Amino acid sequence: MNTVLGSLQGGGSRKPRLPRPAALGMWPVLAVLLVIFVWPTVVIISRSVTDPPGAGLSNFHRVLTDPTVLRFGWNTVRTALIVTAATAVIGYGYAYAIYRAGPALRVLLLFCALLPFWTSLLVRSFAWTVILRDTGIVNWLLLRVDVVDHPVGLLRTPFAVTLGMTQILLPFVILPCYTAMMRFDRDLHLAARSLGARPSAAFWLVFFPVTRVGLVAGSILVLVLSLGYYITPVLLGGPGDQPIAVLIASQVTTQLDWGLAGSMAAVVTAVVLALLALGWRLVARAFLGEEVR
Amino acid sequence: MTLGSTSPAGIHLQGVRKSYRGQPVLHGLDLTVAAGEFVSMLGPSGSGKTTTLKVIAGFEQADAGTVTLDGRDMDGIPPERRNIGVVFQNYSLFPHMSVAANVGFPLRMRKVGKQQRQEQIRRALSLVELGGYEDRMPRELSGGQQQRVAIARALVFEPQVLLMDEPLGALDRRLRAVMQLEIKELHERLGLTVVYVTHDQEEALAMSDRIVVFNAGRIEQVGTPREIFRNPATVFVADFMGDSLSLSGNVTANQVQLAGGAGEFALHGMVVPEGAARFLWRSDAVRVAEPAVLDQNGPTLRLPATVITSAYGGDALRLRVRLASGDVGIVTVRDSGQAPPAGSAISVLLDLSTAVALPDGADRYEVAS
Ligand SMILES: Nc1ncnc2c1ncn2[C@@H]1O[C@H](COP(=O)(O)OP(=O)(O)OP(=O)(O)O)[C@@H](O)[C@H]1O
Ligand SMILES: [Mg+2]
Repeated sequence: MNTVLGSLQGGGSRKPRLPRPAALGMWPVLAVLLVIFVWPTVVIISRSVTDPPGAGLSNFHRVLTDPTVLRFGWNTVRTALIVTAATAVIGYGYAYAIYRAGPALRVLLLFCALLPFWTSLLVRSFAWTVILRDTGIVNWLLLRVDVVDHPVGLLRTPFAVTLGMTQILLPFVILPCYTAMMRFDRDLHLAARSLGARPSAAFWLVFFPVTRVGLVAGSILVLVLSLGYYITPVLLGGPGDQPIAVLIASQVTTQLDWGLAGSMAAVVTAVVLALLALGWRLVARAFLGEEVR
Repeated sequence: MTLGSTSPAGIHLQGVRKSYRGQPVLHGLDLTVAAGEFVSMLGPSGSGKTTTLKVIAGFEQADAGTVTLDGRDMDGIPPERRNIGVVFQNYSLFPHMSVAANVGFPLRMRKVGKQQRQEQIRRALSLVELGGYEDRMPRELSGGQQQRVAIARALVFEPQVLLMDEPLGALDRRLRAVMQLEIKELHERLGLTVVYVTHDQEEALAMSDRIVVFNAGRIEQVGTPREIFRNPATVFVADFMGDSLSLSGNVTANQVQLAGGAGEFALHGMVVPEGAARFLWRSDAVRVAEPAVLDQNGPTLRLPATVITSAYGGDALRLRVRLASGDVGIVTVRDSGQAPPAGSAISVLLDLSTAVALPDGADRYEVAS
């Protein structure tokens, strides 16, 4: 207990350090994760080379050449990149608005930003179907103001998928950006001004570069998360807009092709792990305040 | 162009007021700083020193009053167009830029060409003896080195005025002493106007042409270090400027009646307005002796006192004493190898010729004890 308190209090000072797992008595938690998460992953991925027996690398050959797999793969990457770009721009801007807002507005804006965390993913995705469907509020409005005379097909489009995922993933960019901004030393801005920088120059040459860590960290997380997205595209997208996660699921549930599913999962996992390896320092610094060496 | 070739500018504040959320912080400040002068602002925490600096730099707008720089009214002129160098307590170096990029920043803002920029960066860094550190990042420098980079950055664009807000506050005592001399030397060499905020009395005394003492948003006294130290205008300044012993009394004609019936003495030619007054001695002007009878007739006042605490300070001992009148003060005596125990009775010998007589205002600077 002493060590926990000690490490937490130490965390308040200059260089916060995470308590080691042992200090928190976290080994049981890690063991549960190992059984319900890591082990199944290993089993699935190992099937990529053992199913059918003696498959070797043939499943991977299919993953990299089969047009269907490539189409689903491209859907995934394209959507992930667009969502990452959209959340980056909107998230950084929204965080800046919170940063500049007065105390009352700041609470409201933060509350709205965190709202998605308090509702389930399924509910949020389903809410978008209600908004976007032909009899939904958007089409109702468009019809009312006579912009269109027939409902516009918004649901089951790549647009709906991108919109839904962007909204749902936004907090992952807003929070680290806002944290980075709160840590920004305002004297740096004043220094830049006194040295001759106009407000816009002070923003782009000092504020943005210093707070960019939050943006990069948040974007890496969004990219990683959106590569594996499943529910939102299923609910909001059309048959042509489905990501690789959907194909993996259908290989398992309808084709019973565990080998192909396993090798697709292996590729996605490898990409995600590579991204995390590249960005882990930044993510840890932005979310945990930890200086990772 | 060489560094510092611009002529320095004078600063003039008139009736400057500033409130934060209805709380007045500056109550109508009047202050003139001559071109080329080194002026320190000294005062307790929260007395408005930083706020004054911010108003001069243009970071904050005064609610009322005028700020002129080199005769020009600064109203509505943003900080980037004031040509004032500012050095902050925590250096405020841009963490994502190398030393050279930091020092070059103001030149970049002024669209100075690359070649000339490099030449000026080199010269500014050699001025603060940091030649060869161009490619280091701020986090790879010691506190003192960071402070020098900050100074080089604030000087490289040849401002007419340099504002420094407790620039040495984060450094250890020894390094602070070194940097004090270096800043002083820079000032003399470049001849620019410097406004220097500190709450270290000794630093202000050592560095300044003139000292401005702040108290709760007002200027208590402006004067040379010697004037401020030897002839404080108010009890507040006297208390703030260092250890002292003072007595309350009532002046009538040529006589002083000490408070609490502690005695009375003749003024011996001192000119003091009648009424309540305080007589103050710097702690090194007080002598201490074994207890003896009260003697009010000579030019030396001899009063019984009780030692409250003593502190060892190298060759001197600081004694906190209480007089019979209830006044508490600090006297310093040469260390004789033995500190008088708390509670012991002594006599303090007060020479009237070294006394400073002050009107007895209620406002005193209390050192927490
Ligand atoms: N941005 C602000 N908002 C509200 N009050 C402020 C603000 N800045 C300063 N103050 C208040 O103004 C008063 C003067 O502050 P200032 O920073 O000028 O003091 P200072 O003399 O520099 O003190 P220190 O020696 O501690 O730096 C303080 O009471 C402070 O609380
Ligand atoms: Mg201050």
